Amino acid sequence: MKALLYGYYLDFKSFFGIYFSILLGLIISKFLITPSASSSSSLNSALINCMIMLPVAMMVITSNSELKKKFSFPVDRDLLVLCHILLILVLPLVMLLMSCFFYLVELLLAELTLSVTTNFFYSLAITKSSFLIGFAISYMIIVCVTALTWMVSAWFYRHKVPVGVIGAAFILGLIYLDDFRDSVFGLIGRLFHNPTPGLLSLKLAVITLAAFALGYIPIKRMEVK
Amino acid sequence: MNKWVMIALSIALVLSFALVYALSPSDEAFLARYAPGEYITVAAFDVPLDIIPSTVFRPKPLPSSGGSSISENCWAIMLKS
Repeated sequence: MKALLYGYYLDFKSFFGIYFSILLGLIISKFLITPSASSSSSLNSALINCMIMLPVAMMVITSNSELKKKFSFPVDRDLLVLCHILLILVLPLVMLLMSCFFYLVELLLAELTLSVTTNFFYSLAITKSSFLIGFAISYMIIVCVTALTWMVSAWFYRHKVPVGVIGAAFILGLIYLDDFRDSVFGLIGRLFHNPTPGLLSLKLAVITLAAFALGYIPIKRMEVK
Repeated sequence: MNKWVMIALSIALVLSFALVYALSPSDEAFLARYAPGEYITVAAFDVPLDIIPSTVFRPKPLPSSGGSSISENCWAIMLKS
């Protein structure tokens, strides 16, 4: 397992390099382009980045070629799934912690800019409680979205035609059928509608666990030559 | 990557989290700092005469907010084109 995790660590080095570059680029470009810095922008942009990059990473690691590259004795299917789950739990945490580092860089840059020029203002607005709750809920949401993508990708690579047809029908339904779109968005709205942070975390945790269980099935049944 | 570099990076990341938490103000300090009395208007916008703001209205509170301060304090200007 240690060797497998080390293999994934080597794979994800470039992934973190890309993430680091994107956040750095966003912060620098913001300070170059706009006369102000507001809200908790590096934390927000980190959340959006995680929501885009992690699903892509999950699609890659569940692909046939990547799985078979890792699947060599004594690695078995259970170990592989366990490593994937560990990745889904650890990667968002590291990415969010990196966003905290960039938030500090942003604060430092804002203070430096403020000391150099008067034509600048910033209000990077978070409080202790909003930071902790935001961090925890962001982590839960990212883990949930990543787990769902992992589950769908795991099914897709093993059963391309049925999952492709269902996925395409779902996306076309979202685009063309108003009632279907409203009901799907209504369902998502009900998940996030006015809950306490604890209740929301519980709902997200249940969805995440269900995604882990469902994603385990196709990898367990995977055929290997 | 060197093991010690990894350990140093991990400590730096955890320290970042702790620093952000430590540097953030508490809710009370934040609200006191950003109270309406602490603001002045420093910007105004020139609007062409043919789209004079015809209505200034106060929207109803959102059902989910239960009449919270966000929607209560939110004013919107409708421009009639």
